[in-house]
Parts: sequence; structure tokens; C-alpha cells
Amino acid sequence: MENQLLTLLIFAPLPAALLILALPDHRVKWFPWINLAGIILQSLLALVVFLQFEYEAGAFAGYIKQDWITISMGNLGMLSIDYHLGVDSISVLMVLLTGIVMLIGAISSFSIQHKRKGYFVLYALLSVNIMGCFVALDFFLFYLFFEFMLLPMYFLIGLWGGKRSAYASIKFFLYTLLGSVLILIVMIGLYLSTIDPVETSMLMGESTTVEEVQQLLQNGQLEERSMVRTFSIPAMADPNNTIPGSLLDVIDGQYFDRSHFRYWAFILLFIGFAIKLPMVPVHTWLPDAHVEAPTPISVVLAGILLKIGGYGFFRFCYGLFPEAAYEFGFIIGLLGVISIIYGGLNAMAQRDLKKLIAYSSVSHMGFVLLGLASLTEEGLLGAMFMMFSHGLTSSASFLVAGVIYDRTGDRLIENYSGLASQLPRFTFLVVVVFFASLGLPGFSGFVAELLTFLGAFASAGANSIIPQWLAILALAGLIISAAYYLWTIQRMFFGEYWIRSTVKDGVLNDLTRREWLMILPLALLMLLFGILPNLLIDPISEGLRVYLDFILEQGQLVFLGSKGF
Amino acid sequence: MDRSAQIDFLNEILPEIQLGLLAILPELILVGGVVLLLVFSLISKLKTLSDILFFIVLTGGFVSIWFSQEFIGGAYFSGAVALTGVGVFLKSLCFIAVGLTKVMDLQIPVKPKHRVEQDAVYLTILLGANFMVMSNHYLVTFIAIELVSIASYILVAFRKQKRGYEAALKYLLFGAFSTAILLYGLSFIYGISGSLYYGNLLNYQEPVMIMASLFFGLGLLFKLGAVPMHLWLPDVYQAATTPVVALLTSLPKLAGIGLAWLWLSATGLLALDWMVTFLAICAIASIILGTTAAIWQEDPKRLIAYSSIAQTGFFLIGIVSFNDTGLSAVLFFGAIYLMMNYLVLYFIQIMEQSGMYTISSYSGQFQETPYLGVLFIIGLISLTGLPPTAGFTGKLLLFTALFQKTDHVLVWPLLLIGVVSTVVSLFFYLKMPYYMIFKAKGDSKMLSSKSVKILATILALPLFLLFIKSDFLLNFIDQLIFAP
Repeated sequence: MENQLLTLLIFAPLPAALLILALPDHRVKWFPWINLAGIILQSLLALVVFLQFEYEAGAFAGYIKQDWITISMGNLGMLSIDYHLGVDSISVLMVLLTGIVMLIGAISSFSIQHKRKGYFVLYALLSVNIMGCFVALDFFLFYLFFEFMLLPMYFLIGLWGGKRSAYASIKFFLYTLLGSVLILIVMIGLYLSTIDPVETSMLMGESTTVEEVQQLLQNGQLEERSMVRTFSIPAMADPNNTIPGSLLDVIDGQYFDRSHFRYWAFILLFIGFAIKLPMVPVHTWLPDAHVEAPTPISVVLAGILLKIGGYGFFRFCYGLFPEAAYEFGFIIGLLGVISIIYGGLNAMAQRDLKKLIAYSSVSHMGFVLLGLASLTEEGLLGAMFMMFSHGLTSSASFLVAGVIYDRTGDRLIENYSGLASQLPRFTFLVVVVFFASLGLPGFSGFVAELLTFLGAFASAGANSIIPQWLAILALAGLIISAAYYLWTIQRMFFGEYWIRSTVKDGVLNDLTRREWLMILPLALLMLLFGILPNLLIDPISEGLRVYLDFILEQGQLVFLGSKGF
Repeated sequence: MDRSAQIDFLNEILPEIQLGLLAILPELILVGGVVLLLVFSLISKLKTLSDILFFIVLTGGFVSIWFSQEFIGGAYFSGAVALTGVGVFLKSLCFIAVGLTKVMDLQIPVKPKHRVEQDAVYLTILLGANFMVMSNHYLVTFIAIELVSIASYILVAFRKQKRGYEAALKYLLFGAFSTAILLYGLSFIYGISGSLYYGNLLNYQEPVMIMASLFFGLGLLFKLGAVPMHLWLPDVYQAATTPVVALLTSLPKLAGIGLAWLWLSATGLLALDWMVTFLAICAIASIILGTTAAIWQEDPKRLIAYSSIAQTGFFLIGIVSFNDTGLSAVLFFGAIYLMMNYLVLYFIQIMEQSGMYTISSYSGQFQETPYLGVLFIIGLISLTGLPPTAGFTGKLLLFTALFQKTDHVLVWPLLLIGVVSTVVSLFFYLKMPYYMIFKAKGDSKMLSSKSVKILATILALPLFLLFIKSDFLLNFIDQLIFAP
């Protein structure tokens, strides 16, 4: 029996969902508590996974691999889909972040008043799927979680959201689905091109070792009938497992319109995850979804859902197609910078507080792209740190917006002024959260941006992917983000107390205990990881270095013919 | 030939005929059932008894399919009928389809006047479908197709309403037209090859052979409901009763796919570039037209009609790829399609019985019976092809099959359109749950009973289970079709 910690981690909220489903409707008061209990369990397990995590070369923490579906494909041998889980340096921070954000979201969900049964069942399902995405090592399993996340999300936005939520939720669904079907195409191509050497050797009999199988495969001596094709991501990442002459083979692969299929595959994957991230120009679903979603769902959406896009870049785009990542590095960096600046400028122009935060998310996710594209150690760390930090800051920002909205039902920045005199404690937290978001030294956002820029500037010397001017251009993003955050604080909180008469007045009480409980821990975490970034960096830095070396080695060694893209 | 020689000859072929009769035992049972039912309708008024008789015949036929398994791989009646694993599998699916149709029929409170006759027609259409997937001879093919077609016209007209007659007439005219085309192609095939048995057509003179096989192919596409032979479909579906729609969307499609596969593999036509091009274009056109037209539909049955055109395109993907994976994918998808199609149409029937005929009238009905609503959503998600439903596995396998056929230029557009159409189809499939969940409730109230819930669960559960363990069904299919 293998260690089932990760199984427990994924499915911890599921009993809560089933219990809520089974309880009669007059127990409605219990639902948030049951859901919270499930989520707390999941968060604690996530913390355990994070604390236990230690880098070990070529290994995954909590590794599980069990047969799930095995299909005989006639002349094509076998197809194996596994229940395959594991945590490595790329996913460990995301697991922790999922634990934090889902917990905050669960607390925030107490404010949901109608159709509670459906809401909490869907919320628990959502947290199962999100966690599943980050620990799945089988592409099929990942895809299952990735897709099945959309349906709960669609209903959560659509049913408990604002006035135009039906439009926003279907837009979210269609955009993300479009991205995921592109990923599906690549998934099929990848599994048709990859064998699982371990299972193949088992099929051939005990006498053949894994190395011998790979040797036979690469020499073209392995019979098609005895191959076991696989969805295993670690197997896909190893070029020794690629079937010679198959669609996505590095050397003898096939071409479409004179470009190697691997480049096309990379582009499709990239678009798929870029929609999720989201990256300009495929970001337009995000502001709509955020504005219409209820506060806890906004928190989950910004805090963790977007990170699946970034995680997908790390795990799939870069991890499986390093040479294409190398080839397209500049374009990716450029898109990142465009996102940073365009998102920032848009944020500045917004009148709705939630929209402002949504666009600031687009801007921040641009840093992830930039850091990743730089292919330097600092850049990768920065991208990872940015995802984590943004998970904290954006969650807190949406909670802040929710605080105002809950009281007045209005989020327009121009309708408020001088809130500081009325809500001093709230204002204090807002200032902390916004400063952390704009990257003030001492907060996690600063470390993230610093590392990203270090990486971007180092790239010109190290591998000449990101030119200096692009990195300098990205610096403008810093100024823009400072501008819109500070301007917002100034307009809404400072000056003379005034609220537009159309807004419900006289209900502006300061923070409730529940709101403290949600925002304060996030603010403290921002501070903690801002002062002691090593808490996050140390566990993953070794693993990311190995990951980077792999990409650089593969990316520079492999020339896909003389044709390029 | 003198008398003794005749007897010798008879002695010679008699064992073969006996063997053949055993091989087509399910069909013999059906023929007997048709006769029995018709006689019964003359002498007795006990409708319940006839229902029981119907199910006995159906079960008998279904069980005997599994006894006929040992005949797989053989040709009978001088080679006019050939039993294959594909045929056996599709035959059993057709039996299930007819059984489900009858169950749906029983749930309609107002019974039609000629109910027993309708049952006989159900068995007849099944008989035709069975011979479609067993045929190895153009005449048998023709008769089988006509049996299915004529039975379909009658079923559409059985509603005895003006709209039903109109649709049936339209169906009849289109059907006659396509039969003429098919027959025309058939006569050319006979002309060039001199034989009515399925055989390799590759060696014959090009222009005539192309024309002949295209005509024959178009006739088949009519049965499948694929572009360009789809024009009859929406009106007919809208006018027919829902159980009949469920039958017409599944049975002729499954039988037609089986026939197409057997015919194409016997004639070897898919080795030719133009045939692949032709089918790929039909698939692309079906998917595009089906999905785009379905977006605008207000009538649930019309929506299903257009979406079934798109689903036919997906079946054609399997045929275009024409490899081992393609075959098992088509059969797997066929089984799944049967279940999700019946699930969704069953739900539409319940809504109709509750007086809701348009999608917008579904408003707010989710609250009435959330359980049925969830099952309905599972069916629609499966039709869209999203996990965690078997519809996803089916489409994944179809795309996998297509991926292996890298030697044709239209493969990539077909793949891309197939995949992207999923996104569009989500939009219209979600339209029904959208009204049910998001809109405020009207006056009408959805009927539901324990039996409704049980039947819906029986249909929905496999969609989920065959996603979790798709290898159960897939390995079964593989054993059946790749058995040595």
C-alpha cells in the first residue's frame, strides 16, 4: 500500500459535499460549517505536504502510481491511464496556496444566503478539482480535474453572482473551454508519441530493464504491439520515451506547413493556458467574471484559478517542450510585458473597484510570463513567487472590495471619498494590502517583482532571450501599478468624508470579526513572506535549478531540423 | 439436372442453410414476433399482453445474439449474409434502442390507437437494421435499408396529426430520392463489377467507379443524417413523437455506420484519396452546420435534431480515420451516444408531458426535481463531450484515431473543427439547463415519479461509470472485433 496522503489531500472536502447533499434543507445553518470543516482538513493536509517537502533528485513527494484504465489498442499495443500523483518543486507552493485561498474563500462563503445547499456542494467540489490539478502527474487525470472545475465554477458565478452573471459565467466557460480543447489536441498527440518504459518492460517480461526498453525504442527495434502508451507527464518529459518517427518526436517528428509539430503543440498548449492565466489579448473574460462573481468566488478565481495557467506553463509548456520554449522565449516575454503594461493602464482607467483589481491581476500575471520567459534561476523563482504572492494579495483585494460592496451594494470608486475617517481599521488593512500588491519592500509582492526583474535583466547576458530594453519597458509596469493603487487609496479613503447620495448611506460600519479573520491573516502572510522569503524559496530553489538546467540543456541541444519555426 | 442430382445438390446445401438459419436466429425471432403481434392485434384487445409479448420477443432476440457469437467470422446463405463482431455489437445496441423506445412509449399516458401495429413496426425497423450490419450483398443491403426507411416513414406518420403526415411525406420524398440515388449507384457497381457481392472495387475503371461509389455513399449518408443529405431531419424530428425521435436519431445511425464501415472495408475505397476527402468534407460540413444551426433553435427537439447532425460528423471522424482505434472508437461512441441520446430525449419527453414544449418554458424547473435536473445535465455534458462523462472518452478515442491518420491533408482541419465545435456545442447544450436553473419559474410544473427517476438513473449511470472505467466496454469491444 502506497502512501495515500495526496489522495486524502485531494478528496478531503468530498465527504463534506456528500454530507451537505444528504442533509435535509432545514439544516441549512450547518452547511457552511460542514464545508469549512472539509476545507480546513484539506488546508491542514496541504500544510503537512508543504512542511514535509524536501527536494530529492528525480523524485516526487507522496508519489502514487496505480493502474486506472488500461485499454488494448489492437496493433498499437496498450494505452495506460494511471492514477498518478506527486508533488515536486513546481507544484508544492501551489498546493500550499490552494490550502490558504480555499480556506479564506470558505470563511468568506458564510455571507452566501440563498440556495446554500447547491453553493456549498459546488464549492467543495471545486476545491477537490483545484487541488487535483496541482498534484496530478497523469495528463488525463489533470485534464479531468481541469475541465471538471469549469462546471462548478460556471454555476457558482452564474447563480450567486451579480446582475449580468449569466453572461459572465458563460463567457468564462466558453473561453476556458476553448483553451482546454486546444490542450486536449496536444494531449492526444503527446500520449500517442510516448511510451511508459516501466510498464512496457513489465509487458515484455521481467528480463528487460527500463533502460533496455528505452534503448530498443530509440533504435526502432521495439515492436509497436508491445508498446504501452501513456499519459504520464514525467514519462512525456523524458525524450528517451518518445517513439521515433511519431508525431511529436524531437528528431524524426513530422511537419505541418514546414514547421515541426512540436512547435504547433507548444503554441496550442500556450494559448490554452494563456487563456486561463489570463494573458492579453485573451483576458477579456476575467474582468466580466470578477465583477459578476460573488466575493468568495472572486477570491478563489483570482487567488488560485489563474495560477493553474501559470502552473500549466511550468509543467506542460516548458516542461514538455523546452526547445520551443527556448525558440519562443522572446515572444512570450513580450506578451508578458504587454500584459503588464496594458493590464496596468486598463486598471488605472477603471471606475469599478473590482474591475480595477481584475485588471491588476492581468498585469501581475504578466510578470509570471516575463520571469518564466527569461529562463534564469531568478526569473523562474520570481514567476513562482509572483504566483504565490498574487494569490495572497488578490484574494485580500477582492475581500476588501467585498467589504464595501456588502455594506453599500456599490463599488464605484468615484462614489466614495474620505472613508478613512469613517472606517479607520478597514483603511489600515486596505493600505497594507494595496502596498503589498504594488510591491512595497517588506511585502511579498516586492520579492516577487525583484526576482522577476533580476531574472529579466540577467537573461540578456545568460541566454539572450529577453533583451535589456524589454526588461526596462517592464519597469514601467511598476510605476503604473503604484499609480493606480495609490490613486485609488487617495480617491476613496483620504480627503473629506463623502458618499454619493445614490449610495446607501449610514451603514458603513467598520470590519466585523469574520472580515478580520479573513483579511488579517492574509496581510500577515504577505508580510511574513516579504520579510522571510526564504521560507518559500528554500524548499523549491534546488528543484527549480534542476528544472531550469533540463530546459536549457534540452532547449539548446535540440535543433528541430534546420528549418526552425 | 435430373432429380437425383437435384437431391444431391439439396443435400449439399441443406446443412449450410441450417447453419445460416442458426446464425440469423435473432432475426428469425423478430420475424416471428412481427407475425405474432399482427395476428394478436386481430384476435385480442388485451394491450398489456401485447406489450409483454413484445418484450419477450425482444429479449429472446437479444439473448440469441449472444448465442450467435460463435458464428462470427462466417458467411451464410451463399455469402449474402456475413456475421462480424461489429455486426453483433451494433445489433445488440439496436435491440437496446428499440427496447428503450418502447419503454418511453409506455410512459405516454394517451395511447395511440394502433399501438400493436406500431410495435410490429418497431420490430420491423430492428429487423432492417440487423440486416444492414450483416449484409455482404448489395440486394440484401438494399432491402434492409428500405425496410428501415419505410418503417421510419410509418413511425413518423403514426402520430396521426397534420404535422406528422406532413413530415412523413417530406421524409418519404427525401427518402425515395436518396433511395433512387443509392440504387443508381448500385446498378453502376453491378455494371462494372458484374457481381452483387461486396468486393474490391479498386481495380475498376475510374470515372464510373467513382460515380457509382459516391452515389451509393450518398444514399448511406441519408440514413446517417449527414450533410448534404440532412435536409429532412429537423422537420421530421420536430413532428414525430419523442420516442420515435429517439429511435430515429440512434438506430439508423448506428446501423448506417456499421454498414458504411463494412462496405468501405470490403470495397477498399478508403485507400483512395478522393474518398477520404469526400467523407472528411461531409464530416466537417456536418459538424459545422449541425452546431451552428443548433445555436438558434428554440424547440428542444429541433435542437437535438441539429446537434445529431453534428454528432454524425463525429461518427464520420471514426470512419475517415479507418483504423483499429477508429473502429473501436466508433463502436464505443455508438454505445455511449445511444445512452446519452435516450437520456436527453427521455427528459424532453417528460417536459412535453408536463406541457413544456419550448426551451424557454423550461424556466425554473430545476428546483422541482434537482435530481432529474442533475441527470439531465450529465446527459448534456456527455453529448458535449466533457469529462467526467463517457462522451468525453468517446470523443477522445475518435480524435486519437484521427491523429493516427496523418497522411491526409484534411485530417488537421477536421480535428480542429471537431475540437472547437465542442466549445460551440457547449453553448447550446447548456441552454436548456440555463433556463431550468437561472430563470424564474413559470406556472407549469414538471412531472416526475419514481419510475422516471429510476429509468433516468439507469441511462445516466453508465455515462459516468464508463468514464471512470472505460476499459470495461472497450476491452469487450476489442475482444469482439479483433478476435482471431
